Amino acid sequence: MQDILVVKNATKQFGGLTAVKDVSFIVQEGMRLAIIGPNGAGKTTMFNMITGEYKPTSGKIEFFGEEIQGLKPHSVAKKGIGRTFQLVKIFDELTVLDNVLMGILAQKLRFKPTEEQIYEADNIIKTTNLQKYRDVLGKHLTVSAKKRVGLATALALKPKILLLDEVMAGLTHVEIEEALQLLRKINSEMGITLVIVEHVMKVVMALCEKIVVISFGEKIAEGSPQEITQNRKVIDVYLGESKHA
Amino acid sequence: MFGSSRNLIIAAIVIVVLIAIPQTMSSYITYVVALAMLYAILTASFDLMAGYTGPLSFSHAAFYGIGAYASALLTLKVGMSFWLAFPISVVGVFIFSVIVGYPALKLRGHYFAVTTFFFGHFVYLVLLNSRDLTNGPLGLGGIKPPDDVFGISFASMNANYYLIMFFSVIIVSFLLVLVKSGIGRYLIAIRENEDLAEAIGINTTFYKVLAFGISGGLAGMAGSLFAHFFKLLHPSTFAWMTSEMVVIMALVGGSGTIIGPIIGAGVVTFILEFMRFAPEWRFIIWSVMLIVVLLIEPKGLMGIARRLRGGQ
Repeated sequence: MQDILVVKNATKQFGGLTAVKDVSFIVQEGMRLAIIGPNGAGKTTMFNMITGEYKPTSGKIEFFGEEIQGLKPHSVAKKGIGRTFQLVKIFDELTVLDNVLMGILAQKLRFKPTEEQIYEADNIIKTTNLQKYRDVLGKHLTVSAKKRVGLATALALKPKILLLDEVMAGLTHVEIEEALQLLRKINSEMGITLVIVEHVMKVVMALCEKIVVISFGEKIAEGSPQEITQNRKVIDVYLGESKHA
Repeated sequence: MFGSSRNLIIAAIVIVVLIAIPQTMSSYITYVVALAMLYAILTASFDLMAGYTGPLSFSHAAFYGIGAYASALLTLKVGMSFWLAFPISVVGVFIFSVIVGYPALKLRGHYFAVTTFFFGHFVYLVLLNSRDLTNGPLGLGGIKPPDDVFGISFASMNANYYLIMFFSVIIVSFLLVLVKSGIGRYLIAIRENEDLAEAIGINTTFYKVLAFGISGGLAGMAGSLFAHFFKLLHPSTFAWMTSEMVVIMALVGGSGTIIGPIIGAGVVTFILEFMRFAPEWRFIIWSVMLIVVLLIEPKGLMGIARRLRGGQ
C-alpha cells in the first residue's frame, strides 16, 4: 500500500501555546485511520494543518510525496483532500442538490452545470441516502441530514482522502449504525481513504484499522484498536477518564 | 428572473417607458429619472458584493466619487476626450478597488464594514482638501458633456439621459448574466459559507476581490456618467450619506436579487425628491418607512412581491 498522507514532526504554536507538538504519522492508501484524544488535545488543529487552514509552525505534511503544508485550503482541496467540519457546515440557502453540485462545480469554473454533472450529483445523493431531501433547502434539514449533506459535498470533490471531524457527534444509535455503513461503503466501494476525528469510541473501534492518540498536543500512542485499548498510557489519559464521565 | 418570457416583457416595458420619459415629461422628471438610473447602477453593483458575495461595504460612494473626479479631471486638466477618459476611469477604479479590497477583505463581518466606512470617509476628505486638484469645497465646475460621436451631440440633457440609460441597461444585463454564471455561483457559495466554499476548492480570496473590483469599477462608471451629466462635482455628493443611501436602497429593494436594489433605487430617489416640500421632514418620514418595510419583510420589496405571488 502506498503512503498517501505523511505528517512529519508537525508542530503548531499559537503565541506561547503549543497546540500540536512534533506529531508524525502515516496514512496509507485505502486505510481507515482515527485520531483520538481528550478535548483540547489538538485533533482539530491537526486537521486544520492538513487542510491548509493553519500553516504548521514547523514540520512537513506530504500528500502523494508532495509537500502541502502552507498551501491555501482551496489548493489542498483541489489536490484531492475532502473534509467535513466539526460544527457542520453546509450552504443553508441552497437545496441539497445545489449543495452537492457546488462541490462538483467548484473543481472547474463553467457557466452552468452539465447533464452529466447533475446525474453525478444525484448519484452522490443516492449514496448518502438523501433522495427525499434532494430539493429541500439546507437550513430546513435535521442535524443528521445536514451531516450527510456535508459528507456528500465533500464526496463531490472526488477526493482521494476524506477528513471527517466528528461526523457522529449528536447522532442517535440508529443513525450511527447507518453512518458506519455509509463510511464503510465510501471506503471499500469508492476506494476513499478515511481519516476521522471521533469521540464515539464504539465508532472508532468498529471502523478503524489504525488509531493515533493525541494528548496535550503530543502523540502518545499509535496502533490497532486492540493495541490501543491495552496501552497503559492511553487508558490513563483517555479511556480511564471517560469511565469516570 | 432572467430568461422567462414574462420578465423579458417587463424589461421591455421598462425600457420603452425610459425611452419615452424625456419626450413626454418635464425636464425636472427627466433629471430625477437620470439620477435614479445612476443610483440603480450603484445599487446593482453594490448588490454584487453585499447581496451575492456577503461582505457589507460602506465605501461605494468613494468609488463613485473617484470615478467622477477621475473622469472630470482627465477631460478638464489633461484635455482627454470623454470617450477615452470614461474607460480609463472605469479601469482605474477597478484596479483601485482591487488594491483596496485585497487587504480589506482579509477582515470579515463588522471589521470589514468598519474598514470600508473609514476608507470611504478618507476618500471624501481627500476630495474635500485637495484644493489644487479638485477645487475642494467650492466644487469642480465647467465639466464638458461627452464629445459628439457618429454625428450625435451629447450637449443636450436628453442626449445625456439616453447615454446614461444605455449604460444602465448594459450594466444591469451584465450583472444579471454574471450572477447566473459560474462566477455568480461561487460568490453565492462564499456568501453562504466562506469556510466551506474554500474547503471544496473555491479560491475565496480571488473571487471576493474580483467581485469587489467589479463592484467598484461599475460604481466608478456611474461616477463618470454623473460627472458629465451634471457638469458640477462637489465632494459632499460622495460623502458617507451616499454610501449609506446605496445600502438603504439595496435593503429596501431586497438585496441578493440585482433587480430588487434597482427597484429600491428608483423608489427611494422618487420618494426623496417628492418630499422636497418638507426638507426637514423627509429623512424622518423616510427613516420610519424604511423601518416599517424591514419589519414587515426583511427581504425588502422583492420579498413582499414574492410573498404576494405566493412563493417561498
